[in-house]
Amino acid sequence: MVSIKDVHKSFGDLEVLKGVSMDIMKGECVCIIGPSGSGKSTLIRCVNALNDIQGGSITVEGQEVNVPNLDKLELRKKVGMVFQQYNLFPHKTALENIMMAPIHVLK
Amino acid sequence: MLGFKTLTAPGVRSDHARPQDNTGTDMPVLLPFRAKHNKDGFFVHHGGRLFVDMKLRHGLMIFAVFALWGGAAEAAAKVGGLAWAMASLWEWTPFILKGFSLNILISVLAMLIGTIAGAALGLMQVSLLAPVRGSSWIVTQFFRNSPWLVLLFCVMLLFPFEIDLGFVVIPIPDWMKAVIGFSLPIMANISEVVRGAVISLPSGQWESAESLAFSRRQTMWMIILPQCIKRMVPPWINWYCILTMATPLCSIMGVEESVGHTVQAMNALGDRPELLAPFYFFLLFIHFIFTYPIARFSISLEKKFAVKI
Repeated sequence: MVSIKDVHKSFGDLEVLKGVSMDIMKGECVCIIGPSGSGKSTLIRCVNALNDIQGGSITVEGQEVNVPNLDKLELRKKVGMVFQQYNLFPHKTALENIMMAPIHVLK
Repeated sequence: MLGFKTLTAPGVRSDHARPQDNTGTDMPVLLPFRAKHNKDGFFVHHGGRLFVDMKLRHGLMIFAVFALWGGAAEAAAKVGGLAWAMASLWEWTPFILKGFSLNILISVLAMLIGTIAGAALGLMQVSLLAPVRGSSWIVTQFFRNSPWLVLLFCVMLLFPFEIDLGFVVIPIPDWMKAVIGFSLPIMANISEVVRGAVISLPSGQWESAESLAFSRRQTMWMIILPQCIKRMVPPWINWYCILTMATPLCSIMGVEESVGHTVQAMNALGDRPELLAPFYFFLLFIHFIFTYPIARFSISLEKKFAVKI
């Protein structure tokens, strides 16, 4: 399960996430809906450690994300992310795009 | 590539696509405006101005006049005069072309060494370690902004003229030192080409790779660099053309390439002033016909690789 507790995230002076908390159980499907610029993508990226947070804690299957020497590779093996812009690899086929990570990362 | 394809059956062209349309877009309205070219006649009115519409056959006719003149000159070979100069040029052409082959050899070897070293330097410039980034940046900027002739002087005067390994002594000829001298600015410029290609990729590629838990090395070699290679080819070819045009610089240091051989040929013919124009124009001509096709090939590659708008 993913638990997000009192997360604060700022970009410089602009505070985007002001104490967000939620728990997501295994198998649940949660939709985060909000206007443009409200911090939806930012929150999701914080779970993945693509952005770092200034306060609070995020726990993914017992692994705490907001620690200084986080093993990001280990965390990201557990977290899958699909991007709004797809961000597929154009020099590989669709099949290879899906195959690459299981072959090279999870071996 | 990602994009939107019209839902037609394979093999069926849409109504507006024609085979001769190679303009890089399906929407002609996006192209810049070009006034229609009136193709009748030798003199053409185009956009209110008078142009001469020269075709390839006209250029060939002018060239044929010069060639016939040179041929007739051989029959009238007396010392002095332009006819004699053209005949002498014809006689010395193999010697000058032999010198030109050294130009080509120097350019190929310098490009080879410069590319390998430049690629390494370019990758160091995008390293995560600050000292590696900083030192490679300094090296790149130094060799990029130094005059090539001065670098050539430094290398050719500071490099040993032979290497003594104890059991064998290896002489290093002048042209090999010139190769090293040319490979230094090329290394710096290729380093910038590589760095430019790496940072031109959208950041989404890096994020996507990171999210899949690829290590930095896996990301670089499997995802980033394969996409960069296509982007690096046109500037790389461009630098090869620039390098080939710069190789006559080493004649100043005594390397016997095309310029050196041209000067020697003119000396052998007595250094007469009427030799200057034919010999130097011929030198220009052979350099041009070597470099221009390569430049055109680079342009055609750019068109092929260009993203359709």
